[in-house]
Amino acid sequence: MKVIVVSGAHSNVGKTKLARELGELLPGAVRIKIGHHERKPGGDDYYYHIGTDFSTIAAEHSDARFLIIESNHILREITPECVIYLPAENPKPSAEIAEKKADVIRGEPVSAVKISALAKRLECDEGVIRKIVELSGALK
Amino acid sequence: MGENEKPVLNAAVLREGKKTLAGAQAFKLSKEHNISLEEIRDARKRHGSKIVSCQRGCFE
Repeated sequence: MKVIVVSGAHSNVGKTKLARELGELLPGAVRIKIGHHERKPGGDDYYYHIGTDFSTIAAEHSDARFLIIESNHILREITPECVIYLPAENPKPSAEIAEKKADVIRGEPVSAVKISALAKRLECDEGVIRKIVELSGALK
Repeated sequence: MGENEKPVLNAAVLREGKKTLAGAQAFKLSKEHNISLEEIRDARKRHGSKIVSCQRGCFE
């Protein structure tokens, strides 16, 4: 199982839209949202409350090839294969660790070396990584 | 081999013919069979199998 975390400065920066697009791109992907509100109606992903142990989430989806997790807080517990950060003005405190751990940041360049490293970590073709970078809004 | 080791070792040894077990599968085995992660780690060491892809770093 490879884990991609979609993080952001705060809500409404496009995390869910990006997670959906990544889910369509990556076969065998399962989308997870971690939050502190009640689940919004119509959600088509798995929802866990903040504080749920990663081992619980991973065990419940252990057959997934990819876990795409929307969260900043989970980054305090794990080091995923790929972290995507969507910046905005006035970031909330939990965004700090997300920005620090990010491999891909919207609006910032991603080097060829980084693309190659992500391909190895995620066991994907570099073309797939470039598509992830493109969907994330980072610069190739 | 302890009674609780069997499912762990079967999964660890037989996955695609390699002596590897994904971290997520280790978490699942731990919860399903009430085995601690430490026991899984120790069993791995004794039998030369390897747990890979643990994003929490539990088995390093």
